[in-house]
Amino acid sequence: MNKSFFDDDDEDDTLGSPGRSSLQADFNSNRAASPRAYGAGPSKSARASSTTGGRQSSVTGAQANSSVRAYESTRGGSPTLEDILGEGSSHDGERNVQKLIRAWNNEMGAPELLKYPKRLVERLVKDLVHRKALVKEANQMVGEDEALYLQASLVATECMRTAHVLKSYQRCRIYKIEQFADFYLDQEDREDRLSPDELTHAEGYSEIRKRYMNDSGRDAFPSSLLNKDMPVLEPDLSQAVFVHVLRECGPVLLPDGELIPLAQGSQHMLRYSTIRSCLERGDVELM
Amino acid sequence: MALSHRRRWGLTPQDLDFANQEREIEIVPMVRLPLTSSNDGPLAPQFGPFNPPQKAKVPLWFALQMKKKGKCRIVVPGWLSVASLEETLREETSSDDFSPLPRDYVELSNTLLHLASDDFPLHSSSDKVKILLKDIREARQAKIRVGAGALNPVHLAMPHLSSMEILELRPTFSTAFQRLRELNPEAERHEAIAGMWLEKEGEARRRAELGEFERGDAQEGMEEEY
Repeated sequence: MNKSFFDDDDEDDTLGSPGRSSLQADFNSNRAASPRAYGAGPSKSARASSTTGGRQSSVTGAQANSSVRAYESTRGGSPTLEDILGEGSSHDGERNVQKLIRAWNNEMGAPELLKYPKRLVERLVKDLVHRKALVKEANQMVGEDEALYLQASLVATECMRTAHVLKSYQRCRIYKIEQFADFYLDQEDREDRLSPDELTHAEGYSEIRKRYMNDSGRDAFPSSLLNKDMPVLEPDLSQAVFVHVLRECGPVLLPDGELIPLAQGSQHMLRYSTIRSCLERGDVELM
Repeated sequence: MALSHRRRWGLTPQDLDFANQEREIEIVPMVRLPLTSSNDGPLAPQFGPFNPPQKAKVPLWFALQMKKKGKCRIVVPGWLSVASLEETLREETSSDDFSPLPRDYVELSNTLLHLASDDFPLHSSSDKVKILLKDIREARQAKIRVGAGALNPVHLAMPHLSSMEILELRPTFSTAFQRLRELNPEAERHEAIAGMWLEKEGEARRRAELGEFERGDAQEGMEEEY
């Protein structure tokens, strides 16, 4: 098969071939009840299935209706209800990628490492693998169906965007971990703040750094100095951050003793320490 | 290193452009397309279905991808028309405040002018829009330079500034903020209050409400908005 632009080369996991019908159903997901669709207009589900029916004879009614089952079966294993609903049940019109982009922007803006959104990242990675396999599958049938080709390329774009955000986000976190590795390892909430992999990395990094310090001269220090603990670098919580207020939130105390309310949609430059708790609650986002 | 040195100060303009491509935009599709589910599975928001010539709302990256393949026409938002931009420019030059343009107006207008210049309606051609946008941008930049005078080590409100403009002033402003913080004669008192706010939010708020932190005249002029 000739490679096309959305063929990923770093992806070689082999999922069971879901077959054409389930593939189409998965991209299309033209189920009777679609909770939210970008696209406007009434009776969209009815129209969707009728157009598919007219255009693509291989998607019969029964198969189209079984799109949920197809979705489950291609994911491997037997997902629980929780797994299917998962974050989907708490959808506030925002896709997971958008949530991750926000987490990434916050991470870039904040002087300290923020909490690790474990469930979100896990879910995104899982979905990404699944979708990449689907795109690959669709790529094998190029030329047969133009709409499927277009859909596949759109889905591939989304996959690439997701992968890019995941990568940038993780890079940013690794940079911050290496900056203050010892500090984060000393914190009580380190399990919360760092993912297991990050924790291993931080420990290893801190270890190597200590060894390097010793080898490159610290061992020649007088013993009175050696007995003291090495100073631990800490993030500067008073650094200036730029915030955009998403939800109106209670008055915050400025360092000069004044209480100011943060109105929805307003933008401020202030110290990170001032809005730390608002950021944790998700009332503000950093820029 | 894990992070390129260009990103140490935060997002780059390209990153911002990338992130803001999640914003929604209206398109007129030219092909029929069934519902396409997003990466989150069928329960999440989905794209489509497209039934030309019915308009649909999709994320910008989705629209651009379709546009590149010639499968849709992007509906240029109303504020990007000549009439509306002229009004904005008038507002921008006559008042000291920033006019309420969308937060991503720089990136969005730039993207649309580059990749969808043929979608601009005849009466507001892309050339005219470009000139107007340039004028608006210059007027706003002049205001930002004036606003730099209001910098202080505590708080600065920046209403209606677009995210790209904030990105632009970010390195200068946060360095200045840092220096002012160090030079501030009341730095210690500020540190103490900030520390208490971090540790015991409830108590700090109560004490602030009682006015215990008030010091009167010294704080005047701290809260200037610009």
